[in-house]
Amino acid sequence: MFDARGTIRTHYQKLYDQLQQLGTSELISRSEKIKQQMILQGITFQIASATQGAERTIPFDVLPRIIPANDWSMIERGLNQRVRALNHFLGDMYHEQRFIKDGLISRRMIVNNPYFLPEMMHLDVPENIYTAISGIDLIRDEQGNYFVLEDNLRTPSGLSYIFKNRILMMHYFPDLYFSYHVRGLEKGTQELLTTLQDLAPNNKKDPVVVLLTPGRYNSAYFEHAFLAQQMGIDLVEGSDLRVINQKVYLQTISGRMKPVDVIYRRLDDSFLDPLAFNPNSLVGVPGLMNAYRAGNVAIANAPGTGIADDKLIYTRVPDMIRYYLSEEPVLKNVPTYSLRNPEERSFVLDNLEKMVVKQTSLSGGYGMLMGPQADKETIKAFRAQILGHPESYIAQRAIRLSQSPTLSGSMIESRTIDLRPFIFKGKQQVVLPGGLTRVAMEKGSLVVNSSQGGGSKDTWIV
Amino acid sequence: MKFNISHLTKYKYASEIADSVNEIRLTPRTNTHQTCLQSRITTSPQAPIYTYEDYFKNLVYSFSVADPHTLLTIHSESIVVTSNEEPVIKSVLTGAQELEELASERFLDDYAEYLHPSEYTPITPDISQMASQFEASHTFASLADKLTALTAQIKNDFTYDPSATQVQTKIDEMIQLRRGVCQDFAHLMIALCRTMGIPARYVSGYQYITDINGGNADFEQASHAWVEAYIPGVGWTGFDPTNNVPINWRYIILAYGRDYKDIVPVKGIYHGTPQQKLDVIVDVRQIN
Repeated sequence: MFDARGTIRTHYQKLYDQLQQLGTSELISRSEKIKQQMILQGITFQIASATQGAERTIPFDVLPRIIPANDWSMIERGLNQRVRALNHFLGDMYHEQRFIKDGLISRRMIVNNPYFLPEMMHLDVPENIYTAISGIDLIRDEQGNYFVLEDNLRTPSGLSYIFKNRILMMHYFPDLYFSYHVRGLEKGTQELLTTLQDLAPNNKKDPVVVLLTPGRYNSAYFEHAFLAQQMGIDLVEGSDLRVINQKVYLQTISGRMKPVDVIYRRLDDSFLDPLAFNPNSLVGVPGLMNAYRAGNVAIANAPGTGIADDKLIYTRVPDMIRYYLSEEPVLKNVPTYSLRNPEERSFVLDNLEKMVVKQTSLSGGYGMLMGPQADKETIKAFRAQILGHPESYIAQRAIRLSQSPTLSGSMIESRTIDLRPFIFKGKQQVVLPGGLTRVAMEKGSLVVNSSQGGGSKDTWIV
Repeated sequence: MKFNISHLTKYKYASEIADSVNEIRLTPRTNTHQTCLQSRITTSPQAPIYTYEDYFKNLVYSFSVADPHTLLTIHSESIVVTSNEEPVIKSVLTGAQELEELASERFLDDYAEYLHPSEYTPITPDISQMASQFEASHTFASLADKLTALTAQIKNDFTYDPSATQVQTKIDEMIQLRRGVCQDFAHLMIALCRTMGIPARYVSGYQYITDINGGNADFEQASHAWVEAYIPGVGWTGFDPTNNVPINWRYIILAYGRDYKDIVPVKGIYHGTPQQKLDVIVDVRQIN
């Protein structure tokens, strides 16, 4: 909101003025109303490490994050470029593997990646689209430069919060919202549906699209139900679908069998088809992979996309952009060090207090060292872990993340934020205006993941 | 040698089951060791069959039976000719050249999936210890010598015992028990090879066994599993750690994979009672 000299950045001026008029007590009262509303509507999230059934609302901060249209148009270009390159990369890895043959990545890194699926090799996916829905995490440093922190190409979550946050803001803060020309999200769910429909095999008209959920005990079940309802498609579980002669059918309540053309799945690869993958999966659809292979159904995102959003592969994305698109990356990566490499490793070990170290196989803020905040003991423990399995870690220079004013109790205080915009890739490729701004609710914390207590804000492109 | 193979799998369920989907990997491969002349799969209840070639170039047959049934039979029949040439386990490079090749970046990439631990062939402390003891116990002139000695040692140190393990048994348990079946012997050898930096893969197939009178044996034991290890300069070379005999005309190859999980000969998922009776009748006959 404020620049380095403490003056209000121009695009925040109106918000600042409105807040002055509104007064803190009104702000708090509206914020409380929103919280009540979220509980009523069941907008909840489960935490994996917490005891089973621990559900709570994701903290919602009523002060919007505002991004000027100029910045956004650069971000949009960068995201579109990145997703195009990543999608090319996936098609290449599961077919000719030119990126390997031309020496840009080692074959080992792909075929021994835990997310590599031999079952996907030489399988032609509808429209050559692997990443129908991507969520790309961005951070902004104190100078205002944006960096890509992480690509999420498997089953990225957060979309429902973007829509929900907007609805809440428009309802409870119409004065504030309409004082800006905020880019609307009204077309968002329709664009998502169109993207999914675009994948229908054989360009089928009015294809049947379903959202496949692991069920109501999944942490993101609210999101699954919300998106299905918004798109007007069936929300199904594995047991609602049957595969007969490589075709997928939905058993309707009337007992009729409805052929399914596109599955927007929110299950991990290994649970998708117990015949092909984990035989103990009770939430998947037996025989789905062969229906997919036979070209009778589309799966979004394609299985096996995890090879492109791995923390080690991340370091190669700028090369992918140059290789597949012959363009320079618009959005930069955070400078990242491979701990496999002895020189980079010793540099990182000497500067651990300035680094963020991540375990390559974990996500959601687990298994991470936040150097600038860690005590000596933690740093020591991480050093030992890194030396034991250097190949399992990467390190990134800790960036002073941008802060945003956030309502904390009765005070407005600065909190660290990041941004997860969503990109839909069907026959057209579109970026949903804004995205999910995640905010660290603890003072001074750098971790914004909702699994670690982070909250969210509405994001306005103006 | 020419063989007629009949592999009959029968599932009998305690009550009606439905929505059965299945995958079969029972079609003999064609390569320098053997030629598959004919092969077909029939099922009862009858079902249209969908085929594809998997990552390891195994031919896979898939089918579904949606309607309720209590009996499922899968009959695979094939005619295969195997090479009569006695196999020679050899190295063409010097021992030092072989080691240099195994350690080269290009080689580590080309054979990556066969050097990496897998679900059934994890590299555990037990395996690492066995591998280093084995390497310290002898000096080997070449990889051919080393792999021959390893095969003999596994055969010697472990007892073939069909009652000791199950299909899900992992090698750590087998090492504890000191006994197992061909699947366990193969996984053990694969894990040891990979620990020593030698690419190794799982082979499923049949071993033709004649009875004392020279007639055809007719039992399930004809189904077999063994190992191929990669010798630089030579290529994939077969070893049978269960029997320690050469992979000759008696061996018929069905499928290759990183471990058992990649080559499961018959697998299926259905809706209904878990109570089932499985009968497998394998008949391998020599023909003219």
